[in-house]
Order: sequence, then structure tokens, then C-alpha cells
Amino acid sequence: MTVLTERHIDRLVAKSIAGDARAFGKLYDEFAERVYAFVRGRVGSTEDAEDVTAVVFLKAWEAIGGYDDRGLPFGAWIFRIARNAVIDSYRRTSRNSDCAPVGDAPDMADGSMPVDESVFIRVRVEETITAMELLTEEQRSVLMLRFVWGFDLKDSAQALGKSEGAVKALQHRAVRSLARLLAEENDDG
Amino acid sequence: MDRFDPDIDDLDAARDAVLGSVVRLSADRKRAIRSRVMSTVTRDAMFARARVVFRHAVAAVTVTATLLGGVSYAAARSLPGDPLYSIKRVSEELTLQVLPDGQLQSRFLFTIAVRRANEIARMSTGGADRALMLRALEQFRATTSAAYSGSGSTDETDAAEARLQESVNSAPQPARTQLQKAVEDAGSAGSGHPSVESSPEGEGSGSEASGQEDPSDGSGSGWGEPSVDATGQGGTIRP
Repeated sequence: MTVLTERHIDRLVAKSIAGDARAFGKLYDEFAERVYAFVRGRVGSTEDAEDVTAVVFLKAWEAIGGYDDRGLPFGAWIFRIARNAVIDSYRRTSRNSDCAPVGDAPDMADGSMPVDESVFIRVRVEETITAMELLTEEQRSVLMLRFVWGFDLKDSAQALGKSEGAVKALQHRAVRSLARLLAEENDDG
Repeated sequence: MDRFDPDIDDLDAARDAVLGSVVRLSADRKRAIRSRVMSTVTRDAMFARARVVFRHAVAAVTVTATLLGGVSYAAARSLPGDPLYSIKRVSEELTLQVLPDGQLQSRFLFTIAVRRANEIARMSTGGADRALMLRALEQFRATTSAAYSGSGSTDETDAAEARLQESVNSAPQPARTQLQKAVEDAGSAGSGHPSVESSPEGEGSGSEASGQEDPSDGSGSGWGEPSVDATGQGGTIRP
């Protein structure tokens, strides 16, 4: 994942608004992994996640002419597009379950660690994925924004259309819920 | 097995758990999605540039046509004394210069004569300045004379003469009398007229004509009888 400065992103956005395809390509390079990570946690398959990710950036390209950087950081803006794209995907496929198949969990058995350890990590990942799926949509979004997208409270608030205080409370509840769910899974196991 | 620590009520632990559960996008798949996205984006950008160029071209043509068309229309509607009238006259001169000698030129001279007659009619109803009216009549005489001097008798020139006569007949009095007299004089002079020069409106003072006119002239026209200065200054109308 590349990390561009806000100023660099602003320049790329300005060029993209002017119709510069290469600049938009660089924005894709910067945000594709974050968008995919968010989308992948919500749709049923890798193929769907890739389709939705492509749709997110195509929608962003279509709408970028109307983007106003005075109101919303670009990252927050594209997160909103991703969120809406996931909702549209739900509607299209009429799937209510966004459970990612276990086989799609991150593959840790790449030879870099002992098999026992990779199996152990895989179990932990699956438990977390399952627990995340039981959170509310907003709770999952705030955890994704804060931990995966690297947003601060302010940007997260803008992306979710909430106040910073509300996001802080939402994050607290999300963390508590995740802890409880993981504890329950461990107890069941 | 040492299971995952359930005591996750800690931000760092939650972060680790969430990050650990995220399905990463491989470099290959990232490139594949990029190709899909960028094929559309690049095509759109290309069409967008083409649209911008096309819009600019259309705008330029529209502005040019509007300006030129507007001026041309305004000039065509102008009367002696109007700022754009000289454009109208210059346009006529240029047209005459590019037309070959013969019927085309004669027909165009009749067309110009019709224009002058219509201008005089409009000026007459519009209460134009007397000196301008007299000068316009001079122009009409010169043009009509030139038209008749160059016309052979063909269907086209006969039709052009008929249109001129219609214009004269439709003019209000006292303009009609003056116009009719000018047409009769030009027609009776036949084709023996030399090149006729006329001064474009606005370039002459108009005082020559009015100065040569006897205000007490008993022609009954109300304008008196202007002199026709066939050697006047300015633009040239010649068959």
C-alpha cells in the first residue's frame, strides 16, 4: 500500500477532475487495497469483491468532476462510494449474508512459518472474521476506517457522516462488541 | 492450543485482530482490477478531450457566425447615415468587382438599385434628414443608370427591371415620383452611359446636393430636384 501525502493526493484529485486518466490511476494505486479490504469483508466471494472494487473506482471516476475537496477528504469520499457500492451489491444479488468463506481467509501457510503456527493464526483470523460479521454495519465500518484505512477520528467522522464524538462512541462499542464476540467464540471452542 | 486472547478490550489488540482478518489484495489482482478500471477511464478521458475540442470549435464557429451574421444582417438593414451603411456599400462594391462583366453584373446592379429604392422608401416613411434623402436619391440615380447602361434585353434583366419597377411603385410619395423619374431617365438614356461613380453614404457631406438644389423648386416632390454628381467621391459603381 502506497502512502501519499494529502497534498499529493489533492494534486492528483485536481488533475483527475481535469480529466487526467494517469492521475486517477495513481489514486487507484493509493486506495485500491483499502477499498478492496473494506469490500471483501462485505461480499460473498473474491470475484464479487473485485467486481465491486472496480465499480467503486469507476463510479469515482464518473463522479470526480463534482468532487469538492473543501468539504470531504478524498479518502472519506471514496469510502462513501465504496459503502454505497456494497449496499448496491447487496441489492443486486439479494444476498443478506456477507460471510466470507473460510477458504478466502488470508493464506498464512506460505512457508514462512511452521504449519502449526499458521493453522493457529488461520483459526484466529476466521474467528475474527466471524466476529466482525456479527457487528453492525456502522461498527464494522468504523473499525475498518480506523484500523485498516488509517483514518483519524475526524476523517472517520466525515466518511461516516457523523460527529467525532459519535464516532468515538461508536468505535468504543465496536471494540467492546468484538471483544465479547471473540470471548464467546473462545468459550464455545 | 493457546487460543486467541479474549481480553480484547484494548484498542491495539482490536487493531491487530481486524488487520489480521483483512483479506489482502494481491499485486496481481490489483493490477487486473486496475486494467479493467483504467481501460474505461482512459477511453472516457480521450472522449472527454475530444468533446472539449469539439465544443471549443463549435463555440468558435458559433461566435464567429453570430458576429459576422449579426453584422451582415445589421448592415443589410442599415440606411444611409447609419454607422454600418458603409459596410453594406463596400460589400456591394466587392461583389461587383468579382462578378464578370455581362448579365450577372447587370442583374446585380438592378438588385442594388432595388435596395436603394427600398432604402429611400424606408427613409421617406421614417422622416429621414432631407440632405440624406437627396443623397440617397443621387445614389439611386447613379446605380439605376449603371444598371440600364449595361443591360441587354434578356429574360433575367427584364425580370430584374420588373423588380425595380415594383419597388418604385410601392414607395410612398413623394419618394415614388422621384424614383420613377430617375428610372425613366436611366431607361431612356439606354446603354450609352459611361461608368457611373457614386459616393458612398456617410463619406460625402451631402451639402453639395442640397446646396445645388433650389428650395423653391416647383417639382412638387417636396425634395426639389437634386443634381446627380456622376463623378462623386468615394465608392464606384460601374457596369
